[in-house]
Amino acid sequence: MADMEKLAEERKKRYLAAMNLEKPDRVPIRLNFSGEFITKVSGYSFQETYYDWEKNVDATRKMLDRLDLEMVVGAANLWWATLHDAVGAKYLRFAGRDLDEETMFQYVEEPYMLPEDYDDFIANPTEWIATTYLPRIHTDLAEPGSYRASAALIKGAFGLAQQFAAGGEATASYLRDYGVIPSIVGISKAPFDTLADTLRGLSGIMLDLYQRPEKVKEALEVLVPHNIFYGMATAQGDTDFPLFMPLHRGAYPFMKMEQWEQFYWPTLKQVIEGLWSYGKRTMFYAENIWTPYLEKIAELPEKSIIFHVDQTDMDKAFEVLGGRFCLSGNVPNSLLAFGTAEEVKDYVKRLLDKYARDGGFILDAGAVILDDAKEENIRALIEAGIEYGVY
Amino acid sequence: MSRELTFKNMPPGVCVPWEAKEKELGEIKGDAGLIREQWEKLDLFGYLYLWNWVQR
Amino acid sequence: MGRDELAEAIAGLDQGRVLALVEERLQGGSKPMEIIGSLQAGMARVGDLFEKGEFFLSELILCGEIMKESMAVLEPRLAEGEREYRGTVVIGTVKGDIHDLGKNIVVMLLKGAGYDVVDLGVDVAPEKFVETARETKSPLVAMSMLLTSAMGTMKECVRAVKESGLGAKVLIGGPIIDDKVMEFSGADYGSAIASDATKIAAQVFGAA
Repeated sequence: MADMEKLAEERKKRYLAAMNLEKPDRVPIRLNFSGEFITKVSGYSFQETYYDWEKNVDATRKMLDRLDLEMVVGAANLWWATLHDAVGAKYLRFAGRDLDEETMFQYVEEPYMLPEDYDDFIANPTEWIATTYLPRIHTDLAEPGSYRASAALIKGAFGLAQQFAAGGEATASYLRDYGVIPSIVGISKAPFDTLADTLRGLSGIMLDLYQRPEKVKEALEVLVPHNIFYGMATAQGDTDFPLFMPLHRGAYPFMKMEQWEQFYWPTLKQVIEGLWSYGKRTMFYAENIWTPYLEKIAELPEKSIIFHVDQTDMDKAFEVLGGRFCLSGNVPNSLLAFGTAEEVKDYVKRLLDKYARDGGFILDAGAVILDDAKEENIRALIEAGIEYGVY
Repeated sequence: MSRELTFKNMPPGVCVPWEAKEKELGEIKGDAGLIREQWEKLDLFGYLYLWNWVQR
Repeated sequence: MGRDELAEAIAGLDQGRVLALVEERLQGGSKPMEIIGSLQAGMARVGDLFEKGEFFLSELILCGEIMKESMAVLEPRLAEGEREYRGTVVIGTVKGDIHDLGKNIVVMLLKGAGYDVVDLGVDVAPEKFVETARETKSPLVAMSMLLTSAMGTMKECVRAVKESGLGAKVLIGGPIIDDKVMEFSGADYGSAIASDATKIAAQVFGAA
C-alpha cells in the first residue's frame, strides 16, 4: 500500500524534524501506551494479551482501528507471560496466573543480587548472570544441569527468539497497514537503574551507597559498555528513531544531590554519549520529578536526547533545556484518567501555546498511559494536538 | 572472588569468546573468518538472552 | 533533659554509633522503653528533615535499617505489655498493587512516632482492611498505592471501611494523590508525601 508508506514517511519526517529542533508541519503526537491500555481498548482480557502473543500483536491493530495514531511502541505488552512460566521467572506476577484476570502485571522487588555478589559481578557480569542470577530468579533453573534446568534454558531461549521475530514483524505490519511509525527503537537503562531495579532492589542499593560505595561505583563502571551495547543491539543498528531509556531511581527525591552527582549521573551520561557517538539519540524518559537536575542534564551534547517531562517543572525545563534538546510530555496522567475531554483539550492548547511555538516539541502524556486513561480523553488529546499544533 | 571465572575481561555482546572456541577447534581447514562471523552472531543472541532478564 | 546522644546519632545516620549507644545504655541499666524513646525522637527528627527537603529517600531507607537493627536488640528485652503506644494504625497496599516502598517508609515513620502499626503487607483486599480495623479497634486505616490503575480497588477499599460502621478514618497515600484522586476515592485524608502520615495520625489520635 503505497499510500501508507507515504503517510509513514510524512510522519517520520515530522518526528525527526521535532527531534532535530526544527519546526515540522505540526507538532508530532507520540503516545506511550502501556500494554494494559492497548489491551483494554482492543477488547481482549489482560490475561489474553499477556499469554497469547498473537493477540498481543493484534491488540495494537485493534487500537489502531479505533484511534488515529501516528506512532506506536509496538505490540501491546513488552513481556510474554508464557516465556516467564517456561523458566519459572519469579519477579513478574501476571493476570490470570497469580493476579486477577484484569490486573496489571507487577514486579516483585527483592535484592536478587546480594552484597557479596559484587566482586563476581564486577569481574564478569555476563557469566555471573548465567551462573548465579538466573538460577536465583528462575525456579526451573534452581538445579543447574538438571533435566528441568536444561529444558528451561532451551525453552527460554527459543521463546525469546520467537518473541523478537514476532515483535519485528508486528512493527513492520503496523507501518505497512496503518502507516504508523515506531516511536522508539531499542532500549537501554541508566547503569544505576540496571543495578537498582532488577539486581539490588531499591533498599539494597540505597544501603550500598552508604555501606559499600566503592563497589557500587565499580559495578556502575562495568555496566557502561554493556548498556551502550545493549541499546545498539536492541536497536539493531537503527539510528533514525530514539532509544527508549526509562529512568527510575534518578528522580527527585530518591538521592541527595551529592549522591546523584556521584552515582547516578556520570555513568548515565557516558551511556548517552556513547550511544550518541553511534548517532543514536536517547529518549530521556524522566518519569516523576527531575527539576533539580536540569542544569546537569544540559551538559549532554546538543540534540542527543529528547527530554521527556512528567512532573518536572515544565517552565524550568523549557528555560534550561529548550533550544538544546527536543522536549516532550507533559499532559498529566491523572487528567487523562479523571479529567474531562474539555479539560484535556484546554491543557493541550496551553501546553502547545507556551512551549511548542519554536518547534522541538513532541506532544505526549507525562508518564506511560495505563488502563485508567479514558479513551475519550486520548481522542481529545489527539484532536487538540492536530488542531493547535499546526505551525 | 567466590568462584572461578570461565572467562575474564569479556566484552559486551559476548557469551563464549571466539578466541576460546578457536583454541578448542584446533586447525581450521576452511574459511576461519566465516566460522568466526557466524559464531559471533549466534553468540550475541546468547548474550542478549542473559541480559534481557536484567535490563528491564 | 539535656542532649540526647542516641537521638542525635540516629538523626546523623551514624549506624555504628547508634548500636554502640544502645548497648551502652542497656549495660548502664536503662529500660528498653526509654531507649526506644530516644530512637523515636531521632526518627522524628529524620522525618522533619525529609519534609524540609534536607533528607532524601536514600537517607530514610538507611535510617529504617538502623532502626530495624536497634529494635532487633531491644525487642527481646521488652517485658510483656511493657511497650506503650500512642495508638494503633492499620496499613497495607491496596488490592491490585504490590508496590510497597511508600508504605514501608510510612510504617517506619509511624513506628518511629510511637504508634503500633499493624502492617497487612501488599495486595490487601477490602474485607481484610475492615476485619483488621475491627479486631484492633484502630481509628485510622492507611492505604497505599503506586499504580493509578489500582484506583478502582482503592475506592472499593475506602468504601468498605467507611460502610463498615467502625468509624475509622481512612488515609490514602501514594505519589499520584492529588485533588482529583481525593475526590474520586472518598477518603478522609490523603497525601503524596510520606512524612504527612505522622501529622495526620497526630490529628486523628489527638481527636480520639
